[in-house]
Amino acid sequence: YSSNTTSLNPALCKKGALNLDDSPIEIALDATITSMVVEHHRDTITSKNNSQRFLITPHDASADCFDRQYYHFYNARFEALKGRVLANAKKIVDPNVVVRLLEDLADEEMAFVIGTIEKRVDSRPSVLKEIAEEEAKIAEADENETAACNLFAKKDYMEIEDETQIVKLSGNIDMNEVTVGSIVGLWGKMVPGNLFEVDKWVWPTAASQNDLPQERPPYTMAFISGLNLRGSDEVLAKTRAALQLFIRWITGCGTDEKESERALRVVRLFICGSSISAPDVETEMKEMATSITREDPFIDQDALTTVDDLISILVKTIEVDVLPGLGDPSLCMLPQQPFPRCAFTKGGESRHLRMHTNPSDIIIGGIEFIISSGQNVSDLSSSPVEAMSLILKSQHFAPTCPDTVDGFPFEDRDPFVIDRFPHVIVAGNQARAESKQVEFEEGRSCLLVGVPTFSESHTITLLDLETLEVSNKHFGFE
Amino acid sequence: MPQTAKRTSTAARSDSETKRRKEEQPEKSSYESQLEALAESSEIDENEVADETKWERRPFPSELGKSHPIAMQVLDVETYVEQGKGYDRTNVKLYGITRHGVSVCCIVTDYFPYFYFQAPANFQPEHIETAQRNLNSVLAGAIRRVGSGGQNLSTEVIDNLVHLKIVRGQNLYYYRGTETKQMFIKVSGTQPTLNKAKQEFKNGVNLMGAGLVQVGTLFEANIDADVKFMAHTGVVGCGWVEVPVKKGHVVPEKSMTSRCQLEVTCNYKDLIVHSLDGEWADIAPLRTLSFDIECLGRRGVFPDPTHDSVIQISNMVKLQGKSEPFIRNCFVLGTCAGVVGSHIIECKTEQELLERWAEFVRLVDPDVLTGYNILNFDLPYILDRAKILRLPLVAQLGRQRGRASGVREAAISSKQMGSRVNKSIDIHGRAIFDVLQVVLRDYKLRSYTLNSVSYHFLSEQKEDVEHSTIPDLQNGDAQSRRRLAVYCMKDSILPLRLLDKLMSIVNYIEMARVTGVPLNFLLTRGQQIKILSMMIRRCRKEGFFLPVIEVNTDEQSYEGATVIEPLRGFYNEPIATLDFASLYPSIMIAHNLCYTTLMKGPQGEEGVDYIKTPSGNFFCTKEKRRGLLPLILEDLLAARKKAKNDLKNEKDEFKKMVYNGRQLALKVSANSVYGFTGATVGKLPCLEISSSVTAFGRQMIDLTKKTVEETYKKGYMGGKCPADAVVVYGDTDSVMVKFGVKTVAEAMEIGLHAATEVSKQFVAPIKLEFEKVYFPYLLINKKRYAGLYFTRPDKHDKMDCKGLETVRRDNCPLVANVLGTCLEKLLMDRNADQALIYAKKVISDLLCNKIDISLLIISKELTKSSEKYQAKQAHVELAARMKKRDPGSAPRLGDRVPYVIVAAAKNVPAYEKAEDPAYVLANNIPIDTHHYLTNQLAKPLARIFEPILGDRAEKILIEGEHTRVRSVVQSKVGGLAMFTKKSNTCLGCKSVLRNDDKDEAVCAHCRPRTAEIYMNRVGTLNANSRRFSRLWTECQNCAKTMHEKVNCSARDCPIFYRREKVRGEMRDSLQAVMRFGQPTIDD
Repeated sequence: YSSNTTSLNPALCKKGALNLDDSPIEIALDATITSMVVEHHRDTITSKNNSQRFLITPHDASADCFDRQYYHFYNARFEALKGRVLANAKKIVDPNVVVRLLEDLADEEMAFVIGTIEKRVDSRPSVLKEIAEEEAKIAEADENETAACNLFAKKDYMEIEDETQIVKLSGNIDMNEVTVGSIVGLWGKMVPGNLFEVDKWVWPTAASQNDLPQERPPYTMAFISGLNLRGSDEVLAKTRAALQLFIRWITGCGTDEKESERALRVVRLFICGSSISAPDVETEMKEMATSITREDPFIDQDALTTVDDLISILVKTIEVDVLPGLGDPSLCMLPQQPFPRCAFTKGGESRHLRMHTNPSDIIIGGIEFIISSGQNVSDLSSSPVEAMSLILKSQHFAPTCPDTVDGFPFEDRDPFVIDRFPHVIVAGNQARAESKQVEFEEGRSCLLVGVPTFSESHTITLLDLETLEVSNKHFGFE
Repeated sequence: MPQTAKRTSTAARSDSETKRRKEEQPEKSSYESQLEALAESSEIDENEVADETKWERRPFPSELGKSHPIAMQVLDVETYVEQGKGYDRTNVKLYGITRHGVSVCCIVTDYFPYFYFQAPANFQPEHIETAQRNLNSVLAGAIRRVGSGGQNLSTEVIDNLVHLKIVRGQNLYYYRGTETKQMFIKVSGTQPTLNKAKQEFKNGVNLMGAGLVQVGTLFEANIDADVKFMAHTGVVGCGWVEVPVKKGHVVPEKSMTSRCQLEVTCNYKDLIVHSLDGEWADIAPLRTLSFDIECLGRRGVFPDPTHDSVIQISNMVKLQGKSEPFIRNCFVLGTCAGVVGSHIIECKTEQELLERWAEFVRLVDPDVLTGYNILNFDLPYILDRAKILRLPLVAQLGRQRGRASGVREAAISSKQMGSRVNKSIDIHGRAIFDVLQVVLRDYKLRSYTLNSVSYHFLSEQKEDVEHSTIPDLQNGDAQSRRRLAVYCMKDSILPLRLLDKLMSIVNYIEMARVTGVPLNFLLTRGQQIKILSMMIRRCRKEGFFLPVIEVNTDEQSYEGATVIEPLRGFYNEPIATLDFASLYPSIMIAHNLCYTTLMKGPQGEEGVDYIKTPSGNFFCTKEKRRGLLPLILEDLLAARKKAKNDLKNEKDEFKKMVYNGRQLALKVSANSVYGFTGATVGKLPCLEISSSVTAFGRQMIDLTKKTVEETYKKGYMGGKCPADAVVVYGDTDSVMVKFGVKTVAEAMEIGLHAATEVSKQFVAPIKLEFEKVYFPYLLINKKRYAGLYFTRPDKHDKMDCKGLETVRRDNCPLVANVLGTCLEKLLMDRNADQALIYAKKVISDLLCNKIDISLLIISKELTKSSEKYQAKQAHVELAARMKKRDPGSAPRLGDRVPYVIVAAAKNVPAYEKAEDPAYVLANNIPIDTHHYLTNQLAKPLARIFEPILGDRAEKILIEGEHTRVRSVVQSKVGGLAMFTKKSNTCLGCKSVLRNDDKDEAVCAHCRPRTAEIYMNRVGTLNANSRRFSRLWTECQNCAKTMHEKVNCSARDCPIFYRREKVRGEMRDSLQAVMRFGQPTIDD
């Protein structure tokens, strides 16, 4: 894909009220620049939001909802997908295959079972382990402490849990090819040592996919994520400067006419999460174990004001879609709920602003999207494309939720089961920009787009709706 | 679920079928013959071992005991009386395992227990026959008087009740100035007749045909027959013995008295005892059976064997050296759905369950029985239950045919453990190795529940099911009983994991080998028996006899070790530590202190013939006579050196464990010799030795201090000493020296120099060693200090804390937590200011109610019912109150009661202020923060800050500026709570919302700040939801299931209250955020 860099035109800067020479970094995102925004004509495009299932209803959030545990969630997922796993098994294993229960299997008997994948991984972040370490800190050193070895070091392993049993897996398995919480079918047999030796993996049948419209709108969508505006360090200063360049570009204020034209083709801008700050999960875990006080969390009002300023500028020229992400002022459990408009004093009421859930299921110009702020994706793999492929294989949008990605304790449903195969998946806050068109059975295909974290990459991602081409645009002085 | 029921019945059928098939086919299958071929190969085929229906040991090759010698590792020893032809005998049974896992019972014959007495002055060798005749007839008379079938004793029997023999030797106590041996008479016979003989000797016996003679002190009459046997033959606990070919007689199966695979008799003289080197250092593939029972308790009462039946028994059987058990099963009452990887054995009645389980134990033939608290709970419960249900076979769990196991109460008291009453159970031929006993002995922990111990050592826990849910699970369906079986099995696998992790079996086996006592003794008896066993072995070799010392009950004491008055303070400079290595053992070696060298007064020339110890006792020099204790100690220290060397050179991980266990055992044994001589209630007390040892120790510490301070003056070592050295502290065997240097490397150089120099002042092998440098060093008081511990100049090894009592159980975790962080700031960051700021912050947070409740929980064990406590105690009162609220979940006897101290009116006594943390959480009851500050935090914190702040420390901490702000929580119960009406308040300013505003989130006044207020609320919500998710998924991962509910109620788990607390907080914070409007989405 193409990528190019916009530089500010010094002449323009002198003309305007903006003085970048004096202070290229400390720019307030306020009136000075707002006054420069020219109200260019920009087409609009209709969209349909299909995300009702991601809203937490009063039924979900009933008074006793936190007396629940997460097993309901897994059971709902299992119920939703087991039929599809069996259907797929009939295709790829044997048309007459039946589902067996692990407890009924005799050794060496080939059988088909369906269950939830569980990984027992030593490196799983754990509050308990952190607490244990904390306690060990000043435990009196044991004189007889043995330097000797632990002969039987724990090894990571995988298990499958069906309705009644949990069994360790062996054979044809690769820890990286599957995630915790996936519902899968396994063709294999019990072997001595109480292992289930896997011969074949069976994923759920892929959901059906609507045809991609032949005639697609001649516009572009832009995705930005991970502004991380909290704090006041050098990284933030750079982010703000890059953001400034981005605003200039998207509002069409650049001098390069081609670029202006390109920018004006952008009809929708998605802000995909972590605008305030993405917390470091590991530190949080440690804090949870070690903190002895219940501090009210530190809230960065400045960051929120900056986001509000940014939105209020942007909505003057473009339709803006906002998703909450990690560190944003919205319930951090997936699915994250839309920001209330009152959170943004200046831009909140604009009709050009749309508030979304994370993830969000949207149809734009007939193209079906699932857009997210990406914590479900980056939890699976450092490669966004690999992670999203796994998601499509497991036909579940967030398999590791609630295990390692926080999730709401649903009682009778799992909103993340994929029941319509999307045309495009976009995930924000990824370690790198990456995209790929992937093909699935029976002509299904999907464009996977990983949007990088802006505060690290100063890069946004553009998607041409007509050609479905992905490009990234970098903003910076470097 | 009809489907489930059907599944279960098929599973059940197949089980019983397998069993029936097995019973119907006693003849050897081809599989078994294959095994026979394999039997002699040392590799055990994993797959074949993994067959769980295969309980029995593999058959042994028929040559064993015929053309092959039998070499076995000895696990248990017992003596028994056999009525014989002409005379009775006390035989010894050695139970053991061969290298290939064949269980063997070796009956050692022709050994007779004995004791000695010193021959009276005018006793001549020719008197021996008279003496023997007279003694035998007195004994026969005594036996007849008791009337135990002695009426028709034949003359032959009477003549052979005891046997007398003249031997030469010496009393262990005192050097008498001559090496000549005296005449002693050895009395041997069966154990019961010896006991009678002891009685008769008290009355006097006509030894020389000239009237009754008092023989005075008996020798070795108070030592157990099995210990004496082992000392006599050289057999050590867990050592290897061999019955050579043609010397042993294999007992035919029909006349076997044991349940071992092989029974062999052998004369004790033919038994070969191997020393522990080379191949004989190995450990046989012991079978360890870990089990756990579940009982059907009634609500609120601890299970009582007279009423409550056993409903499940889970079992795990593992071979020594393997990581996973090869048998995992659970005997259950009623139907039970299967558990993959485990064998569920359904029983229709409790009788059937117990009998099949006992049969299982006999078939598996384990060498070691383990579990958690099996000694005091599970085993006695099963045995009691067997008695009540009249199931004699169930009690036959040992290797003696027809012998039932019984339960006795045994008091054990030792300096190390305090006194406690344990049950004593003899499972003939098997060792009972209760993990709880191991942990109690070897580790100081906050809590000793299986859960908390597993968490501590394995970072793994089990789901702790509340007692009250057990009947529900049992009375449910096959699936709920399956759930119970899974818990039950977890309770039997964890003890195995703990044993592996702590390497207890290997370490205890090495201890048994080093000290010579059987494995069983190590957990059931005190420290003394180990030293006694070593003493008796050595004495036998050197011709000494151990007198029976009357226990002297009046408390004699002597001066202990010295402590140099600490120069308290925070030393932000390196402090070098000089240690005497193995101080007490080396003093005893250097000065030849022993029973055998003790003199009643000076004789000869001081320094040449004798020495006078600083405590005023006299001992002869080694030129006159080498003491036994020094010899034993030298051997132990040399053996330790060798074991350490072997450890270094060994490549095999398993053998490394063995050598490490051995060197530890040797160290512990060497150090306990001194204590043995000082134990006034012991078998061989000798305060002259112990008080001399400590006196020498004190003298040496003082001398070291003097020498160091006088030598290492400013400018010494070519100017390397920048200041005069100061000994800041010294205790027992170490002194801490401030050399005034700036770096660890310099301190190490001078420290090393000083250790070598000062050592020259002492008699070998006493040696001062330089080991470590503390930098910085916080010297709080006697026996209390902390510092960063350096053994290399570049990087510290650890943070070392002594005597800070952070693990005391009556402290809440907050104390340890705060102390830890303060010490870290003081020592690692070397920032006393930050430490103080932190401590003040915690205090301020405490007073403002911001501390997490899980950190404030104190717990105490409910040991007896409330009537039996003399004074009212907080936890007891609380338990009674909880019982009123809900008898089902209230703590029972033996449980630990967790509680927090809650605020109450001024005159409420302290014992009424304890409350159940769960109740506190549910009802938002205010905590008595002041109590926590003054009774928990103040003292320990003041202690570590005193060296820095001086005596004002406590005042600064508990009365400073930071303690001004306090906040009070409004309780939902009691007091004014019932009069308050709940109405919505503004989320910003907390003013009550009225009329138009009443459904809004904020009041009109706060409306401009909505975004900010929203942010704050969401911030709280997010922090809580993170906790909710992480804590509950943690529990789910711990319970290892995603499809089933986590049933755990482990109150001593560090996250139990956290996760309960977060539920309420989550609900409140979500409701608050929802008041900003139901979220909607836009098209």
